[in-house]
Amino acid sequence: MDNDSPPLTLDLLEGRLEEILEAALSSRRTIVPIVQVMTHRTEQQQHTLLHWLPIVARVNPELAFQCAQRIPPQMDQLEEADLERWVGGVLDRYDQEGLQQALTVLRNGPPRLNQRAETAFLADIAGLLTTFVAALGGRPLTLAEGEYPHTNTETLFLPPSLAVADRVEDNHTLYRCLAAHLWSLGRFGTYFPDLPERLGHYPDPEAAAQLYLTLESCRMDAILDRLLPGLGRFMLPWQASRQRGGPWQEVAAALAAPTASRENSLTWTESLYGIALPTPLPFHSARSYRPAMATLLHRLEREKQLFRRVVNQAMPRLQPITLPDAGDERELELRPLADGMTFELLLDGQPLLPPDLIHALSHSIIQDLGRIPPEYLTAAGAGGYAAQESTETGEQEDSCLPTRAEVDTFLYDEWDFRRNDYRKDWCVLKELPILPSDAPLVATTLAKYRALWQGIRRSFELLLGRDLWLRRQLQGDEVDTDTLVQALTDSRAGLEMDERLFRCRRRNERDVATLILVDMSGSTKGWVIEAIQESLVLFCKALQVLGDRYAVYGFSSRTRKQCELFPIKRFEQPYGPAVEGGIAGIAPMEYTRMGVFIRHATAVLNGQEARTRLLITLSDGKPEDYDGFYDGYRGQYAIEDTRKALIEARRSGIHPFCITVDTEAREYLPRLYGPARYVMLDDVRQLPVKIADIYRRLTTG
Amino acid sequence: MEVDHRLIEPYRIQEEPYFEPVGSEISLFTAAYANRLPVLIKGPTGCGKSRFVEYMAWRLGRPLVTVSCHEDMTASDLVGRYLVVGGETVWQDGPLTLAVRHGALCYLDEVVEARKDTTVVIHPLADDRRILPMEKQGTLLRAAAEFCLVISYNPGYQSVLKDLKQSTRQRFVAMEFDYPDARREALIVHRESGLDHALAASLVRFAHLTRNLKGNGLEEGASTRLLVHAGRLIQAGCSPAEACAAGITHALTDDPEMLAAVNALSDAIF
Ligand SMILES: Nc1ncnc2c1ncn2[C@@H]1O[C@H](COP(=O)(O)OP(=O)(O)OP(=O)(O)O)[C@@H](O)[C@H]1O
Ligand SMILES: [Mg+2]
Repeated sequence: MDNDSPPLTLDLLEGRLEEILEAALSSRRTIVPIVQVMTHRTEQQQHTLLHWLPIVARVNPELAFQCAQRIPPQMDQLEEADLERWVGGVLDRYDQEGLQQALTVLRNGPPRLNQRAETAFLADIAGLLTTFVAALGGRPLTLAEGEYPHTNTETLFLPPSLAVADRVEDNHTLYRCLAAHLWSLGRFGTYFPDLPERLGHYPDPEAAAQLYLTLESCRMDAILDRLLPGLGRFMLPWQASRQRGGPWQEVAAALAAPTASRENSLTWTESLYGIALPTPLPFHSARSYRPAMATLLHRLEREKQLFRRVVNQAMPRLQPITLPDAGDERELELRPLADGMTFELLLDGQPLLPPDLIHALSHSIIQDLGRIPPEYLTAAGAGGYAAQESTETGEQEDSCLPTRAEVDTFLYDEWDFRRNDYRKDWCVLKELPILPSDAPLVATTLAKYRALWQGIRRSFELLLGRDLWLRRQLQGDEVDTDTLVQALTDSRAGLEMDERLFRCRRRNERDVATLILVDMSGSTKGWVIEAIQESLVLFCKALQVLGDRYAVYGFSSRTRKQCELFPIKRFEQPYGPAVEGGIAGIAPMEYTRMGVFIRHATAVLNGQEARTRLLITLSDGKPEDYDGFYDGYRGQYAIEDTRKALIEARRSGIHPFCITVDTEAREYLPRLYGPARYVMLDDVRQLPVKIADIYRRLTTG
Repeated sequence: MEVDHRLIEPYRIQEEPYFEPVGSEISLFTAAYANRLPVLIKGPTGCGKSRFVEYMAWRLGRPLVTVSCHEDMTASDLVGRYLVVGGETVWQDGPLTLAVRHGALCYLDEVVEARKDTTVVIHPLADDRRILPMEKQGTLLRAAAEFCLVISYNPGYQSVLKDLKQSTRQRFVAMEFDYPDARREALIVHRESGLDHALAASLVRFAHLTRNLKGNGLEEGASTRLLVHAGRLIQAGCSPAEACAAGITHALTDDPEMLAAVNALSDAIF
């Protein structure tokens, strides 16, 4: 770490530790034992510890105290990268599941310690496994590290490492088998709402559940063997060894029938209840069902509401097309297709091509219930749902993050420079309509800057692609009269006649897509926002002259869970009164969490097909947001995240350009906007001219 | 102008192309043709659009002129232009004019790739006027009765920008194509590559997995065309894993992580 820091004396070390761990110390809990261990470490190691502890302490003091105890004894065997991965894993787990789980990861020790050559690590193949599981289809799933393999039907929990087989490749394959198994439990109906009830009559329902899940794993063995024969072949030896004992051969054969369902497993549970259970095979789920049931029941309620609302909205529009005369009794039916993995949605017996949302949603519901229950089709009254919704937003602050399926809601990672890693799905971004204003902004701006506008327009007109005529071509759109005359004269004079007699039109086409991100944070109040609005008006007008594609979005945030983006003009939207109203409606709101907005803008821009993609941010200064963690989104954290987001944009082929009107911004600007080009204006009145100017420079040549 | 029908002869389809019908596309097309309505075919790449048009041309006994549209295509590329031959300027029909004059099917493949000012030349042909204005000659060419205009496009990866203009699309009878259902697709792979049914079915299963990745790292899943390619590779002696990697996976992506993941999928199947 910092090699040039002063040598640490015992006093200094003690002082620093006191300071960092203060919040977790008490009269019975002192730093003395920690200091004792630390004195036996090298100075480099001491610095390393002092680097990590404050980072952890800002997340949670108790966690830092535990780290201070657990890390030093291991440091001799640890590379710095291993330590980083270990602490990073602890912090990630804290973000996702809180202190207790984070402590477990800490206690498990550094992930790579004592690694054997054949050990496969989840971290190495998590990306691949995520894609693998996505390809299998069904409800979108995420992967996470867990102490034991299981699924809650939305997340697959996999152990951090596997060393069952003798070769690392085989352990990688085992990971895939395990992921496929967990996927299949959610996909083929193992967990269903009545499960607890169906097991409730056993003297020991927990034991019955364990048996049921063992049987279901057998059923999944067979399903996977049919769907993924390659994996099936790999798993066969393990399955075969199990089937040699007890009734398991007969059970496996029965549950392997293509028609077997969980009902068969329930029946077998009845007849085998009390039998000793075999150990789970290495690719089988742990026999837990509570996490799955909790998630399932929660999701059922949520999706029911959502489904009814969507049906409500979809019905009137669908009616004239698919339902000439259906009255009020309509029947929505889902028929499984031949592959058994997808469904066709029928409305009164007619295939219905549902809007995307209903499609994903009904898939998810069917995965849980096997059908869409009739009450889902009674469209929820607007009032009923609104009430529901308001309680939902009431608990928004600490409730779990919205699912990916929700409309216009996006999750983005955020860069934490202290960990040198991303915080996964850290920010929740919503696209919300802007409240338009009918202030006559355009008229007043054009009046106010009449002379300026004339100049801008002229200079933009110069940029307009002009068609070029290529002369003396062998073939072309038109006869080139001049050369024809010349050629005829030549031929009369007995000279060889030039055959290149045509001219050909070549278009000088501009192919630019520009997205402008406008800072709507509270600090822009007053003249800054006015200047921003005015320059947007001139800029949009200028782009209209050019006919270039562009989009304008405003942004404002309040904590990572409420990052709000306001489309003022989307790419596909024509310029018009709605856009003008949107620009006039730009108003100062909350804070400036730049990174997440740049990431979203990058995604939107990359959806545009254009030779040049330009991202212009217009802001009044430092990125900053209020948050409960660390000391919020500010200072170096905010600068590094923004910088990272700009680098990501650059890497994806976008040209980012930042315009700021903060006069005090000078010292951090080079770091912040290093990856982008930027300009700082100390007089906002320059903004309109400057933007137009910058745009011209960026898009020509 | 004298119509020299020899020019169109190379465009006749001699042998019946193999086409496996998936729905009512044949009767729909036949009805459109009988009523002189132009046809728009939408669908992902490699799902059988071109094959279908070829088949219909054969079935209707008409020559087929195919044009792959691209960004740099001008109206003259479609309509025709003057050439100089031995000191004289000579008019040469473009493919569209050729089809219009001789009553062929004209298939404009990937029509959204063409620029808007090029696509407008088909407007008067695609409504009940059925004429082609030949600006450079200052004449109007009336389409032969058997002429039929067919255009195709892939709505998937086109951005809103490259969407077809309403004034264009609303002139056509629209047909939507998708990959055939699993059973038919396996049959097609079998027929086109000679691969046995079981392996063909496995290829289709693999394709389905990759199609689930559309928008999840892949721009498109494996098309029927790629399955046929892989099938042929297997028939030529490649192992299924090699054939999938070379014939399908590498055609889908260059991203190393995606390659590894898609290879893992084919390993899981074969
Ligand atoms: N219904 C079908 N019957 C017979 N063969 C088919 C069918 N569908 C697809 N194929 C096979 O798939 C291959 C690709 O189909 P085709 O060339 O028609 O695709 P396309 O839809 O025109 O694609 P693109 O949009 O890329 O031009 C064909 O060569 C053929 O082997
Ligand atoms: Mg084609």
